[in-house]
This record gives sequence, structure tokens and C-alpha cells, in this order.
Amino acid sequence: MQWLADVYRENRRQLFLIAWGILRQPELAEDAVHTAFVGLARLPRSPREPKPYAFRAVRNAAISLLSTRARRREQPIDTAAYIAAAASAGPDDQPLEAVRLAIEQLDPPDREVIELHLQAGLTFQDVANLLGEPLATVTSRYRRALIKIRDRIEVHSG
Amino acid sequence: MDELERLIARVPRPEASTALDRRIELLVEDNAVNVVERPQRLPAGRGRRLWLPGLAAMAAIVAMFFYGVRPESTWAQVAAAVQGKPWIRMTLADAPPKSQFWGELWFSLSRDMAASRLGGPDGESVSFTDLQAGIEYNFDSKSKTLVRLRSTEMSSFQSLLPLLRSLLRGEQPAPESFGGGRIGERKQRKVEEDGKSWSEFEFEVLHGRPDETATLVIRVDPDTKLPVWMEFVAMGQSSRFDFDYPAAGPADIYALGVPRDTPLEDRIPNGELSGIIEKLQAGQRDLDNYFAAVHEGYPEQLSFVWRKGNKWRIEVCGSGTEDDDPGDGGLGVVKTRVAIRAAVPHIDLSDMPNDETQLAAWWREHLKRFSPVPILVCDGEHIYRFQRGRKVGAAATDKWKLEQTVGPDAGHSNAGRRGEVGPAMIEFAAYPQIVMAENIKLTLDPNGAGGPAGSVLLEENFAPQENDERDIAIRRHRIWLDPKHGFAVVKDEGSDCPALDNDPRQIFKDITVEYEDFRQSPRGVWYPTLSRQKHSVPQVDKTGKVLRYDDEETRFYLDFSAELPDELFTPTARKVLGP
Repeated sequence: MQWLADVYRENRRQLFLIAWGILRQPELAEDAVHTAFVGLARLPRSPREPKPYAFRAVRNAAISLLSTRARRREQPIDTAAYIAAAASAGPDDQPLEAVRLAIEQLDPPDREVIELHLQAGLTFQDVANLLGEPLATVTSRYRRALIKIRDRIEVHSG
Repeated sequence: MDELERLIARVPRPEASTALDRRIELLVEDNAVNVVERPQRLPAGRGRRLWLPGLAAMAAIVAMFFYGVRPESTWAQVAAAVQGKPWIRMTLADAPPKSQFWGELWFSLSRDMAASRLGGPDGESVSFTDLQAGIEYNFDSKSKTLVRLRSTEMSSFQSLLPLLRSLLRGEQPAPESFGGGRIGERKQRKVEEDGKSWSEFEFEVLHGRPDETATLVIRVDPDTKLPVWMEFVAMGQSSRFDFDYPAAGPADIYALGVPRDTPLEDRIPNGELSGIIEKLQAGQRDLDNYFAAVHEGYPEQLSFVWRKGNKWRIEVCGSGTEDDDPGDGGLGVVKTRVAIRAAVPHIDLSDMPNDETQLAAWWREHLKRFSPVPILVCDGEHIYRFQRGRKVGAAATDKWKLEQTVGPDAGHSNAGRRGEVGPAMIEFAAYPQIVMAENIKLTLDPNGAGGPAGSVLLEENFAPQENDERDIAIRRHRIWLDPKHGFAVVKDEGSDCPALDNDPRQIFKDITVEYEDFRQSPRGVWYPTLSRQKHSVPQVDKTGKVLRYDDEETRFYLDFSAELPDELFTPTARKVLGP
């Protein structure tokens, strides 16, 4: 099981952000990571490429959790700490808040690519592997999302 | 955009708590002492899309198992026993109410037939395939559609059909022909359960993509030598199928419960349409043995392609600095484009000779100034990706990584499906790949409505996929082909895309490319040397306001006399046509 511990330790932040990007709530994201790792622990042996395997397992678990909540008609709750941090932002952080809002307004597929690459630090190839899509699709979506963010910031800032 | 990317990276995001760390720590500790000796059953797949491909893959693996592996005499006996049965049926073990999904898969090795019924909350899909004729019937209970189409690797059975075809001929195909899959580690063991001894065979199944490694366990009754069940574990999900061997099986798709009064939609091209599709396939195949430089106008990029049959190599010119490289994730096309824009703001090809026969010599002399970097190379059966490493001391730790193993005849067609390669290969632009699938309706207008005079129109209409949440897919693809130029494409238009249609800021709702300046290869295959993507380059004023949209031009320079030695198509540094 050492491989499992290593994968978690070395990719803790990415694993969490992959799940959070879908669920938008830290508590649920942690549940998704844990659920995925329970499944990974049952594998008869370490996957040949543990990191991408774990990434996809976590994303699958997050999607599954999201659909379960949707069936139960659960409503998302804004994360208190996250909102408080944004609300208490100083003048220097105002551009960041505008960017954050612009990201939130993106369609989920666009937002996911942006967050995975720029915030979770995944390479485009990692993102493509994770989403099961061609690299070119991912990169073109990334470019389009960047343009949308830029346009929205410009509108916001007048 | 660099500043924007830096800003996005700084946006605060929540962090995982130490509670999660502890949960994982406990999980690891628990499992460290409770070592399982064989795969534990996991909950069945939760989504139809998750386990449907798994089923096809699993079936392929079974085929591989029966005919391609045979590691020991014991298994040879098992294979012989299975082949003696008129029908093999595999039923998904977890059925409702235990699971929301159910399914069964049929094989008849003697009749050359395969069939499946797969059901879930969204309805039921039924398939029946005549392997000898290469014809497949698919029924979807939700849309109540029954279509007849030619079996292809893109259809519901995916890689299963070529595998079955091989095994039904009694051949022992190479592992690479199994949809790129191959067997890794193998184990055999005896298991005592319910007072009986069973044989279990466990196989590590490696696919083209490294993160798709799976495990297949098959339990065999030692008395009958027949498989009893098998379990396929992939991506943290598992599916178990129970075997039985009925004396009779389905004679057609109606025997699987499809109402006989369901209208049959025939998607098998015939007549003129069939002939045109064959011409497109011939164009892709025969526009061959070339070196090409492809100059895209916006964002500006210069790509180099070498093609010889199923072998190909693609390089993209960049700044040549390690700092621009994304490192362990491979060479990203976007990163390369950024590097080009930063370091080579304008690619000057004004001194390139017009005479195609002089291109090789011109590029040998000038390639160095563009610092091309390899992206991918295919030796015909394997695709390798170049990864530029960090500089360690004086040397860079560049390396090639095997990305995918494809069938011996699939190296070229695989390139056409790769978004980072296909657009640079002129044969796929000039002669588009037409996919036959149950969700694609193909029609031909011999009058070429809406296109250039004398052209014919081939139209693909894509039905939205079940649970398809993406709105960026194009639902209608129209290509106008020119009979005067061997049915090469003259205009290509994608439309009916929700992301474009619903965005009020998008003035143009279609993606249109027009092709011009046709030439002929030495084998007489026509190809365009100029493409114009209409209204795709925004021209803005100082405030960022878009004034107008210009066309983006891409030029294709092809040389059919270039050297194409086999070593060019190996994962090594290039020694020809360049420094």
C-alpha cells in the first residue's frame, strides 16, 4: 500500500482540487478523494501509472457524488471560509476577485480545464488524459476559456 | 494572456484539511495488514458510459484470452472446450435490484455472430453483428431507433470485431491487433470455495494509454474446463459476468426483444455515396510519401510532416529554449505556439522556392532557423511522444515515451483522429475521414447546394449523445467535394453548435474552411495548397474592441521527392532534412 500513500502525499493538492472543481465544496471534495482511495486500496496491485489512475478515480468519484446529490435535489452551500476570504480581500486583491467571478461564470467544462491547468498545476497532457479528450480539444477549450475570462474582466472593470 | 494566466493561478482556492490526511493514513494502515489475495469485488459501474466501453474491451480481452494467449496446457484445454460450444453467453452478475444496470453478451464462434443487450435507467441498447458480412444492427429503446450499419472500430463493439474476425479464422493474432491492448503480468492459482477447488487465471491488461491498465480474472471449472465467471477491474470499478453455454442463441436482433415493427434505418452507404466514400479513403491512403511544411497564419505556427504509408512524424517549430517546455507532461502544442509568438513573431517564408522539387534542398538549408521540435512519431505500429526534459548540467534530459500501440495497419488512420496531428496532414483535410456510427446520418446532395459550382455535398448530422453535457460539439458537418479534383474537399463547414448558437457575442455561427490552389501528387492525387478559415482572425482597436474578422490562411508546401528513410520514423533525433 506504499504506492497509495505516495500517490496521495505527492499529489494531495491536485487530487483535492480535481474533486473540488466538480463539487465546489471542500467537505464533499474530501469525501470524493476518500471514496476513490477506498477503491484504489482494493486493487490487487499498484496500477502501472498510479498518478493518472488516481486522478481519474477521484474525478469519477466526484462526478458520482455530484450526480447522487443532484438526484436528491441537494442544493450547494457556499463555502464559508472561501467566501469570507473573498469578502475580506483588500484593494490589492480586487483583480483576483474579478478573475474568480469570471471563472465561476464559465461553463463547467471550460472552468475545469482552466482550474486543472492553472490552479491544480496539471499539464495539458495530464488534463487531456484525465478528461479522456484529445490534447487539441483541451488546449482549444483552454484558449477559449481564457478569452471568455478576459472579456468578462474587461466588461466588469468597464 | 500571460498576465491573466498568472492572475488566475493566484486566485485563492480551498485546501484539503488534515482530517483528509488522517483518513487516507488510516486507510493505508488498514490495508497494509489486510492484504487481499485476489481482487475484491467493487460496486458495479455507476454509469452506462462507464461500463459500456468496458464491456467491449472486456469482450476483446476474452477473445485474446481464448486465442492469443494460451500460456499453459491447462488453458489450451479451456480454449478447446469453449470452442466446442455453439453459443457462449456472459451475463452481468449484478442485476436489478442489486444494481441499476444489466446486460448480456453473446458469441457464436461457429456462426460468426455476436450480440449484446445492455440496459439501465436510460433504457436499453441492443446490438446484433454478423461478423462474416461485417454488418451490425443497433437498437436504442429510448429513441426507438433501429439502424443497420457497417461494422467499424467506431461502432458499439469497437475493437471487438477485428479481434473476433481474427479468432474466427483460427488465427493467432498479435497482441497489438487487440485494439492496442496487450497482456502484461499473468498469474494462475487454485482457489478453494464452497468445498470445491477452482482454477483462476489472472491477467494484467495493458492498453495503449498507461492509465487504463486493468485486471481480468477468469474462474474455470476444473471438471468441464469451461469458464464459470470472469471479473474485469478497471478504473476502480469492476464488473463480473457469469458464463453459460446455451444450445441456441439469437438468430437476429428481433430475437433479442426488438419489436418487429420498428422502422429500420439503413446507414450503409450505397450507390454514388458509397463510391464517394471510397474515393475519400483512397485519397487519404494515396496522398503519400511526402514531406510537408504547413504554415498556419493565426496563431502563427509552422509544422513539418513526414509520411510514408502508416509511418509518420510531426515536428513543430518553436523557440528552441528549454524554458518554454512544459516539462514532464510532454510538449504541449499551445506552449509551442506561445513560444513561437514570443520568439518568432513572424515566420518569413518569402524566399521559399515555388518549384516543389527544390523544397527539400531549401528546407535542408533553412530548417535550422526555425528550431523544429518533434511532437510525435509513428513507426507504423507504435506512437511515441517526445518529451523535452529539464536541463541537467550541460545536457537536457529529453526522451521519447511510448504513448500508444496501434494495430499494424492503423498507424495512419490513428493520426487522422488526433487533433494535434490530423490538421497538419493534408490528406485528412483534403479527404476527410467519414465515420459510420449509429448516431451519424449521412446524406449526399449531387447538386452541391450552398457550395461552389460543380461540387457535390456530403452532409453528416450528429444526434446528441445521451447525457452529453458538452455544448461545444458540432451537430452538422457539411463538406463540398469537387469531382474535377478527384472529389477533394473545396469547402468544409461545421454548424449547429450550441456554444456558438447561444452566444450572442458570436456573430458567425459556423466554422467554415475553403480550399484553393489545387495540385496533383506524382500518383495523380489532387490536394489543395491553401485553406482559408473564414472570419476567424479578430482585428481589434487599441481598446480591444473587435473591428472585423479576417480569414485565417494556412498554406501547405508538399515535396514528394524528399528522403524518407525508415529511421526518420523511429523515436530518435532526425538526421535528414535538417541540421
